[in-house]
Amino acid sequence: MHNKTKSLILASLLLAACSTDTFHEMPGNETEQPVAVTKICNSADDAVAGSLIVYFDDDAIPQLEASALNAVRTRATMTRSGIESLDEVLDRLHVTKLERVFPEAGIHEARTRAAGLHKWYVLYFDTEEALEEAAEQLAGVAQVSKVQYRTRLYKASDCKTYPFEPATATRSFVQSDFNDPQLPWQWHYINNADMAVANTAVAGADINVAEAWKLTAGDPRVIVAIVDEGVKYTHPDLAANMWTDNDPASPTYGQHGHNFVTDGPVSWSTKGDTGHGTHVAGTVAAVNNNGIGVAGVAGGTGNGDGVRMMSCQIFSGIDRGDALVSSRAIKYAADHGASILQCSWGVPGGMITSDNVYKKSSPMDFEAINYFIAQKNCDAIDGGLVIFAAGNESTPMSGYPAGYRDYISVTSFAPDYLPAVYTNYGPGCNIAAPGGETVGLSGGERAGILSTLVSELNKGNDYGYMQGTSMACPHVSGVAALGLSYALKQGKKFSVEEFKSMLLTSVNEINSHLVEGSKTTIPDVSIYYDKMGTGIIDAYQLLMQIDGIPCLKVNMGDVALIPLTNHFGHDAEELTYTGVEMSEADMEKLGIADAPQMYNGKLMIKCTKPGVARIKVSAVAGGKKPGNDFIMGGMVITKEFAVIARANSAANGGWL
Amino acid sequence: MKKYILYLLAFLFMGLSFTGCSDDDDANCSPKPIVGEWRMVSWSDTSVEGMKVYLHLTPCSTFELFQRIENTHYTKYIGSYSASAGILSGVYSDGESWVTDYKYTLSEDGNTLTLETVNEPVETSVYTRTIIPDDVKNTKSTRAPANTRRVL
Repeated sequence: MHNKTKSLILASLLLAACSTDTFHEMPGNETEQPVAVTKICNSADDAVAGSLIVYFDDDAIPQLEASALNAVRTRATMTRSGIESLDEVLDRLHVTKLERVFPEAGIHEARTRAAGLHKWYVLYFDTEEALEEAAEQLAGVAQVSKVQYRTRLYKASDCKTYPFEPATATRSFVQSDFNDPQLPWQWHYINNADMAVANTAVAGADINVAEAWKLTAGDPRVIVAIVDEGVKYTHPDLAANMWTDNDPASPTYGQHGHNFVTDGPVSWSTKGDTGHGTHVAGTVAAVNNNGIGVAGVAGGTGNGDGVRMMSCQIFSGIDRGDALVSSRAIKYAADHGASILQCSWGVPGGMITSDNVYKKSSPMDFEAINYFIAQKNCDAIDGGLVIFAAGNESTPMSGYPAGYRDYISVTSFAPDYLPAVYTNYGPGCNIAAPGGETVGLSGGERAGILSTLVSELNKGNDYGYMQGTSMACPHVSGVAALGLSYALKQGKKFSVEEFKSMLLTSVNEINSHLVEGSKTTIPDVSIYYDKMGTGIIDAYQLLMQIDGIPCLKVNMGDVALIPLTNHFGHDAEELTYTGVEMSEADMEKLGIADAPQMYNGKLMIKCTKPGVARIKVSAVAGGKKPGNDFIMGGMVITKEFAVIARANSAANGGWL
Repeated sequence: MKKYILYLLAFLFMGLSFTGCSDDDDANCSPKPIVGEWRMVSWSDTSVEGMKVYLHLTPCSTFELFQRIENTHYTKYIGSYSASAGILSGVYSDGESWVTDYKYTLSEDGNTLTLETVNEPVETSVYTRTIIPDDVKNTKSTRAPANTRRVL
């Protein structure tokens, strides 16, 4: 999608601007920056002109809100703050509008204020004004805490579409309980190594969803926010699974989301639109078993039981999303019931290289996502899940925000069970999913991801192929949505951390496939070893984990070395383990003298009494080290097991 | 002529029916109280949420065992069993005997089965009568890691 040179230039500019040395006063540092400059969070490169975001001190808020109220009373646009020193700057910049980034939120206003989101304002002025000078002037005002440029965002796909054309499969079509006629071409759900997809296709290079669909195919109480281009909510294969705002008091009552670029209704066929959001939505929850088109991961069984999708539009026509519109979209999703944030966008890999830089350069976006994570919108989980595409620059690190340690960053693989040629990989990446390759494999576009298209943009075609980590990401969102649906069905509730741990360990290994020479489009795929995340996602495994706490069977009296392959993925012995916990009471119950520990990637434990007890094992998911503010890395996940100590057991593993 | 054919058919049918009944009388296919489908609800006085064990004891002394213990999929075992004098014992289809014989007791209503290992230390399992779900019986489950035996 991107010119790599351009990315590198942008990266170097941004990195220069974002370095902590530049933005922090260092005691005793003779080259320390003026206070005003330290308030500017990011670089003006690739930022929206004629607009800036400002975070005010608590002291400024009462006067700002009085001025806002006055403007409402007089039905005027607020252009000045009522704060003398600030208004001097606003005068000089000829500011035409000043407003809260996150509008008054009605029943959610209290929590909005508690999160400090009411202190973010956006101001508008002439696009001819020098943006950096404007930022510096604002930063010079005492009541201003932070100034943030509205950095534009990139979709994590080349946005090329290939309309679906019927072809002849070389193998018998895949078996499924659903009747969607194009499902056999969705190798990313059920891959039977069809040569028509790619002559290098490998059976099982998919998300193993067919088995999961026997247990659940969705639940309308689970809402996924598609933060992207507008979703074509009239699409015949999407309409039934669109969320609708049923709050009569809401400005978007009766609608399926909102366009945060134009502050208007959701759109999908403006000049410059690509159908990216509609394609992503189809993967999450195109309606299943309705006799038309494609299937979606959590699209239900054709009985109105799919998960619901909310279109939070941040790209509109030729207008790219930026920090302002994405933050507003995320806040809207949180306040309107979404529990999964599906984000196939970000800034390219390499532009931001640590969590600290991300937090400092994107403070408003960061706070908006924190707000989303804090909301409990689904009875099966105590907060929100944030899922991002890793990015498509073939960079050995995740893009951001995906790379932030609390968010799930999704890499992409192709039908050959190998990394897609474009995928980012390495630090910050957490899990792999099918993103396809529309160019380079023998099946051509059929090795891409088949989903819903905007017919207005594709000569009347409702279905077609795209590629990218953008397409991988909604597979993980869909599987997460299936997991929440199943948890609701089972009456179970998890913490966000517990759910992420289950999601990231519901994987099949990929490392054994990464053999040099196995892919013609990548000279050496072994460079991806251990860098695609924990493995490739498996929907059925997630549901099984939700079904119950996994068990570890131990023979009493022996020092047991238990492989955790079934629980942390096939690469379990390669993982970095950060801790093993068992209570003293449980150790006594099983007669354990020495605390269990990890030894050569296996759990070492010796039980001298029969019984059942709990144990927790923590490991790093995606990378060798956990990420921190300064070094990109994996996410620490913790899994709980039931240890079952028995006096005897059959050699064949039978329970009796 | 037509009547003759009808008699002939009736005779043949009776013959077949008697043949069917004679199977029921076979010692290996008797309707013992222990026969049926069972689900383990506790082991060593503990309910283990993640451990799923279903046992199907047929009238013909064969069993099917569906267990999900260490994996995220069910594993099916088959074999034969005998139940007499309060002792339940069995052999898997690969020739391996069960870990131990079990003393078994049935509740008065016949819906709870308790198994106690005859070997020390005693391990007690409690099963309740159930209908084994189709998805357990039929699941092909997830792709197993290469070293996992799934079906014996």
